Amino acid sequence: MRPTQLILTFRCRAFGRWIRAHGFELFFLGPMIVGGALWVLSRHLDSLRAPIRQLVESHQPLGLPISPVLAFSLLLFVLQVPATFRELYDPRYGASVLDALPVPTAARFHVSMATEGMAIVPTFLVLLTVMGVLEGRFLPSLSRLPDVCWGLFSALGSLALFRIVMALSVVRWRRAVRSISAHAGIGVRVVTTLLGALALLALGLSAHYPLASFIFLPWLPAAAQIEAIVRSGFALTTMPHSPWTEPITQACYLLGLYLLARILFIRWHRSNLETARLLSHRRRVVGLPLNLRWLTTRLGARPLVAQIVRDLTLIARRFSPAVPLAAGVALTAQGAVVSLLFDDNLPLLWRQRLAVAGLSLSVLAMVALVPFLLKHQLPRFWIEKTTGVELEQIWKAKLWTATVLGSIPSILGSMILLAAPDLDPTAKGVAILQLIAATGIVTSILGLAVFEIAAQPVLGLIFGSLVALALAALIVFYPVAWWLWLALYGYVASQIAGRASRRVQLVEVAE
Amino acid sequence: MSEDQLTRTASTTYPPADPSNTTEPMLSVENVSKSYGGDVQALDGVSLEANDEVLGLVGANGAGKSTLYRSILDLTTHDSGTIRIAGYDVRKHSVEARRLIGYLPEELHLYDRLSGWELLALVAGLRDLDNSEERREWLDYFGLDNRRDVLVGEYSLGMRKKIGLIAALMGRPRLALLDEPLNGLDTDSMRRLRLRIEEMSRAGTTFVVSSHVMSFVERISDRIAVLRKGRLVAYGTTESVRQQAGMPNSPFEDVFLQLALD
Repeated sequence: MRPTQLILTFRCRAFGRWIRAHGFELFFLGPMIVGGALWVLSRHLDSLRAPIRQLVESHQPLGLPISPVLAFSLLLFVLQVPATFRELYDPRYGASVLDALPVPTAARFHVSMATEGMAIVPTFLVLLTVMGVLEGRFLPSLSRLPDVCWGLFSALGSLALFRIVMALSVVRWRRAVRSISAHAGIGVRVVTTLLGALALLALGLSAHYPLASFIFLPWLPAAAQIEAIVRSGFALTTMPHSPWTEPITQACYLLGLYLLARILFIRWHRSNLETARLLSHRRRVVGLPLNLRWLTTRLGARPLVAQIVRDLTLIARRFSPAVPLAAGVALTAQGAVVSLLFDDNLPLLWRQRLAVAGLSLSVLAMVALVPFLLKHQLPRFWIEKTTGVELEQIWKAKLWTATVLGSIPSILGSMILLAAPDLDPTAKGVAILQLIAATGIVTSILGLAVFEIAAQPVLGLIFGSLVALALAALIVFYPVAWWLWLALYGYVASQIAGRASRRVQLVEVAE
Repeated sequence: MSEDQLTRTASTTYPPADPSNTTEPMLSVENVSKSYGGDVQALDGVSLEANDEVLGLVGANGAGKSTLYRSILDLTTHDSGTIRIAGYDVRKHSVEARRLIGYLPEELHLYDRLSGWELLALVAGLRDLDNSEERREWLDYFGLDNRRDVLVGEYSLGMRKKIGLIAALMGRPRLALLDEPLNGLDTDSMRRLRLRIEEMSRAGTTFVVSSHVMSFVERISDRIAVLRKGRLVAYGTTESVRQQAGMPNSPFEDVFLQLALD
């Protein structure tokens, strides 16, 4: 058997085992949650279908504020690299063992490409389902299915290949800075970025593949700029178009990107390995200005403070790519709220409500880090378990961490609301109170529930977020019955808090 | 640094452990059994005691040493039997029992994005210790003082082990459980660890130490327990264990191979 086939066979076997181990979540719990959410949202989906189709078919960029979207696209660009970097070069992860074996570099590349490809399968399936739902059925109609599948495959495949090229270039560029030939790395990076943007232009604004547009949404402003330049440069009023243009463009782009990635990988692999090893050694430690002794005198228990300091330090040092992503989502939401507050087309009451909803979303984005933090900490949970910390202090530490994280966007949001031009002081006061209430609800529900969802943070996060946001929405949109919502919140929070210590005790410590 | 100098350093900087609650043995394991899924018997009726001494715990891979440690810490639930730490039943008073214990697991999962100093501060905080001076002394003792602000992810295997050892031993635990403490340590660090264990043991800390380096176990242990497939097959002083194996004059490595392997 050829090396590529052999390696991929074992990878598929491992993947199959993973599927079996998570069968319940994948085939029962997940579909149940998604189905339930779609059922609840079906009324709104009906009203959304027509405008989305109209928007996409008109080839107009979506009316989103450009600055936060550009910031988010930049963030996505940066975020795409680490995961691929890990797959390609991190010595602690699977594929790197191949570098010490007599495996041809091309085979090593195909393995990495297959892994990147596998990573897009869930997105592919989700988008396929959502496209069907937008058409009012489970999957897109059979007549459109081949077109839709090809569109999604080419879009996601090019994204995967693009990621590889970017990761290769970034490593190469970092090396080149220290040597003379800096231009090759930078040049390639610029060219791949432009190629990616042009491809997104061709793929993303297609009327036939509306959902592909959404995954590339952040790239659209950049792509639109490039399109404008191309149009003016060639004096075009519309881009040339025929039924075969898009599939051929996509296939050529995929093939070109594959060849580029393959050539760069084979050519640079050995030198990049050494550079990556150096890059992965971070020597500088960025400390947080947190004084343990000072905090202890104010918060009381030293074990509690030690955990909060640890949690915040890990977040500040980006324990996972989820950290910049959460920060990016929170900032994007806040940016959207700023533009919303200046939108004269909306009634004042709705501006206020939507602003609070958007800011609550930014709070949720930051607090959502806590379950992922716990997941990261589970293999190291022996430290808490063997040092005699009270169980109550363990879950309270997570609650505090959630509160600190939620407070940051909440404070920023309050400042935005205070600076809102058209809202009168009473409306500002009400909006800030609503935001504080929403922050309290989101942070406490998710902070308390974090040990309930330790093993499956993503699914748990969906559940927890739904509960927290539903309660927050009730307070924001139906403030008259605030006492009822408060009582409901109190009941839910007390139920989770009552179980928290027991859940902490049940958390298994890895062997 | 010579052994005498190291011993003097240890005795001058290391105060004696709190001698309260001396009526109960520090560690008491009575007839403890544990099986995984019913077909793998990890521990089978193990009984032993340790008090103000160094107990060497030896056995082949998979003999049940790590399971015994995890049972003592109540990290895994044993099926039957009783484990007491200074009189505390670990099943009923796990938090109180754990406060008396310092633990070094065989497989060290540490926070790669914390520095060595921050990691020790975390463990000290969790154990409610305000001991920055002691931490400095430990880091200096193991030669990590100039690497204390480097991220743990940058540490070599030996350095990680040293940080784990310091985390386990700082704050004078009444009972120290060290699972394979020598893995990755250089010769000088092994000697430093041995001297510190002897010093702390004299000061009142009870040790349970497992290792595959028989010369080390033989040298530091007051008593040795030999596990084979979850069963205690020999227990006592090194001479007594030799007698139990019927090899009174043989090297301890041969005695171990006789007892621990089929």
